[in-house]
Amino acid sequence: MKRTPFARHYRGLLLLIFLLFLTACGDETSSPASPAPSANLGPEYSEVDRLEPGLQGQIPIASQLNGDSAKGYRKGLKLVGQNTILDRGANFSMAWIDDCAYVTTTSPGQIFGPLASPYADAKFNPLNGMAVIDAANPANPKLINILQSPAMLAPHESLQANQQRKIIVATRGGGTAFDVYDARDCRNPKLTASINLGLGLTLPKIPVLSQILQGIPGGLDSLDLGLPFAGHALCLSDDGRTAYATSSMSTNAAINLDNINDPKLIQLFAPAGHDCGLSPDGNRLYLAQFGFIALGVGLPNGPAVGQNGLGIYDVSSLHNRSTPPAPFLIGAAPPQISFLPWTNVLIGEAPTAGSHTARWFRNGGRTYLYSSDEWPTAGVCPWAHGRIIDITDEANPVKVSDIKLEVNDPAKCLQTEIDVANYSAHYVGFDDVQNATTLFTTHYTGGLRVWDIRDPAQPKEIAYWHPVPNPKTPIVPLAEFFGSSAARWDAVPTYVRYRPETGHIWIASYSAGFQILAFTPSAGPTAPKPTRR
Amino acid sequence: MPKAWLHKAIGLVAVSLLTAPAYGHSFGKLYTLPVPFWLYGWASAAALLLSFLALAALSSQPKRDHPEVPSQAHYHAFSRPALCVLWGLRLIALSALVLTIVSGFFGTQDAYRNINMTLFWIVFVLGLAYATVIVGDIFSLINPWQTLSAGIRKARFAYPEKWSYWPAVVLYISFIWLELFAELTPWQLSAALLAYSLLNVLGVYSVGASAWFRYVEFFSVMLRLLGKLAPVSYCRAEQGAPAGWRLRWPGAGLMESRPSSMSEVVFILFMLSSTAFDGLHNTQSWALLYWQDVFAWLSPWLGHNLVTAYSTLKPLYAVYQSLALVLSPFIYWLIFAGCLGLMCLLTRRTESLEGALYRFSYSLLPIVVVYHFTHYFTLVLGQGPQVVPLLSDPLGVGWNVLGLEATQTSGVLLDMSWVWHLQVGLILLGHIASVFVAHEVAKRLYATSEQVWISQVPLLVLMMAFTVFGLWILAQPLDTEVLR
Repeated sequence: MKRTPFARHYRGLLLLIFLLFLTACGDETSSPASPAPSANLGPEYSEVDRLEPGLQGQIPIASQLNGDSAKGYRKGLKLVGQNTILDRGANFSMAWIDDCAYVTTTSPGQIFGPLASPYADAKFNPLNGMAVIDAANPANPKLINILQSPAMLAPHESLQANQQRKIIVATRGGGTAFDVYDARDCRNPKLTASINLGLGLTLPKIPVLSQILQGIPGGLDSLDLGLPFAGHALCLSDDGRTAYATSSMSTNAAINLDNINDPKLIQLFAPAGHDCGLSPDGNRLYLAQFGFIALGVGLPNGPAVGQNGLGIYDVSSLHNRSTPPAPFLIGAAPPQISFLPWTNVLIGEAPTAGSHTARWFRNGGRTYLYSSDEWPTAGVCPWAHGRIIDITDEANPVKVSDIKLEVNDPAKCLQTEIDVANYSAHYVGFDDVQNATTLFTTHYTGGLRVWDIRDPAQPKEIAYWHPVPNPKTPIVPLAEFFGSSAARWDAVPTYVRYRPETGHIWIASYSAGFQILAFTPSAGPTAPKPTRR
Repeated sequence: MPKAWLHKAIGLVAVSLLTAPAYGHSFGKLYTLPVPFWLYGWASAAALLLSFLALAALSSQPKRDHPEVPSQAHYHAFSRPALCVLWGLRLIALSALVLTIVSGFFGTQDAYRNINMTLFWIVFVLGLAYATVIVGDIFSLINPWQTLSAGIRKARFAYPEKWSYWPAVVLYISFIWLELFAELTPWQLSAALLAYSLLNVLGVYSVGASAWFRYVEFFSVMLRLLGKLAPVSYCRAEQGAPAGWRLRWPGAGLMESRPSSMSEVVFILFMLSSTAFDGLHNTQSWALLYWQDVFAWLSPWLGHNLVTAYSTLKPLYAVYQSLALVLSPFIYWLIFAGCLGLMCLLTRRTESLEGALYRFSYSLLPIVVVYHFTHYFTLVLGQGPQVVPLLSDPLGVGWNVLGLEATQTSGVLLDMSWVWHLQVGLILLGHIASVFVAHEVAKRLYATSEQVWISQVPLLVLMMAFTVFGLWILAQPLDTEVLR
């Protein structure tokens, strides 16, 4: 073919221009999604500590800007294995059965709708849903599937699993959908039921129309609206037969799971809890009641009335089914055994902090609850912290200690306020709930903290873990004030699993995904040791 | 202009302003439309209909004349001081191009601290486009690539006429693709600009400045089209006649001429469709169409496991996005041509569809401007003021060349209610302007008033559809049930 004069004269220059364009389009950051176990492992896999540069729990703004915090910080813990869940980000809740972990996501958009701001588009992430991870090989946990169903697409803090019955449940954050999975084969959970709690309506998948009606962000195919329940968190009895779903704003839902193919709402009841826990026999409900009334402050997402604190309720009649299903959905509140109040500001927290977590454990023959508050958002010091409450006399619960980091000290606000961070506490885990000597607490920017609680009145921190953040995750609007900066720090928001036989600790963090950790000698002699060698 | 870094930067500023105790548990300030979206949609369509009826009732009789194309004689020659200013502006434009390229290569790769991202995306791509609507196509007089190639006097080859504006269309689509999907770093932006500068010099050397900047250099084409709305028009010095200027009514330029080829029509339609695509591709509806419907359609081959299908679906999503972008002007062309075909049918006019497309294409330019402005003006307000401190430290290495005081410059962040209602107003205004221009064009085409208003019914329906669609895209982050 005869060349045109143009091409003959300028093919060299055209090639140069083309190469420049190619350079401009090149992707400098492409790399495999997860490190292969045989790849060169980073320093976080070693036993060498990398200590926090500032206050206890702090990721100082200087370290964020100079890149130091992008390497993570750790003491007494090392990474054993990790799965970044296809770099989807926004990982927030974790549950587990046998060798499997289940991780779901949350984001401001998933809970509250795409933010009404021209500056931050809420983007749909097709990888939202329940990630099923096979962790039988701790060095190489494998992502098996991502299961999407109305609740699992945006369950916020409601993901829970039950080892005894091998079921997984969740409600939809801000919605009424409630999903149940049969996980007898933990690697292949099967959806057995998806119902609405209360007067909810979840539209089925309707081509085109469901896109037009896509009212709930993160929702694949459903419009989920309901009154007077809007899902938030959940607790599940040890026998796996009764679930209590909280909505933090209006009511709680008691759910009968006797037949996992046909779960039934027993009743809705107030006061709403932010989150909850149960006694092992399922007869006591510990409700983290999130309220501001004592301060007269506005209620962005709390109950209409109520004092912040911990409520202990006798739910035996719900658990043994002597309370019949409420004919008009809403039933009377279970009998309250006691209520331990506290006022946010008076205990050194910002007005918007509120009761969040309530989990049972025993130690030295006495019964306790770990309770933590949550929030506020970044920029409003002092952030929420946790505490240990002795409930041996359940009618007279007594706080025995605070679980407080230096970043939670109001006197340190001048130092922490400038950090683009959220130093609130979040969830919890124990080495053994029946005789807990080690407490794991999770925090947003504060990461995972490990405490020696052989004496619950004097908890001592023995280890901590700030994951190496994963910058490859999508930008989640406002996440830096919530879960992660993606590149500068990562939050550890999930419950913690400790496996006594291996000594492994399971967590998931917002950007870095599922991680298995182990103690190093730096954690000291009181760190629990694996029972199986 | 969905540059991730810009959204992030402005989002951070916005959130820091919005964060307050009262919002503690709701992550930030939420804005819900004061009335449901469908009310805005219907109200805007009704306003458009009323405008159309008012035009039909009040407008003068048809005047079947041809648009008057102003000649060089209609222009006032620039005075000597004005020519000095022009040379100064040329120097500034060329310096800005050099600074953009150099700072990207040698400065920090932090997009917030390197001036080249702000200078190119905010000042040039957005700021100059909006300024052009007010002060006219000043770019045609100060284009740095024209200045760069000013020494090249003679074309080596004749520009193939049949190529018309197609090279500009291809370059424009490539540019928007880079903008939306490439996520250029400062270094990559500099490499792209250097390549484009070399291409321009080579193009001028080959086919001459006149043809190159008329048909190929797409910034020139885009800004010339936007300049037709301005109350000022310029002409370059040509064949002994001096460069000049003249005043006219805003928008009068739309009726002074018409596109000379179908490629120019496609270019205009891409100006419209690329902005719509930019908004649309960020919506959940758009993502769901792929991740739900297309995935379901492909599941016989890919299976139902998202994890195993993801490695195929993810790269295919890039293809899906790119294909939609490339096809968007042609989809718009089909819709526009369909309306004009219906117009010809209703008025039983024998004029070809091609002729009608040429006649009415410029009437879309007011919509182009309002779409563009409503999508991006918050970015200009938010990031634009940063150019001052960036000029003092263009490489982002800690200089303070201008000796500025160490105070933080923050962008202008309007209240969301203002933003949304300004968007509604401007979208509506743009469409009414388009209806008016199309009406004026029709008056020159048809013999009777009846024919004029009948001819405009299909275009009115199109404008109403464009209005509602434009508002729907803008409302996507807002019009969602918020459960609190």
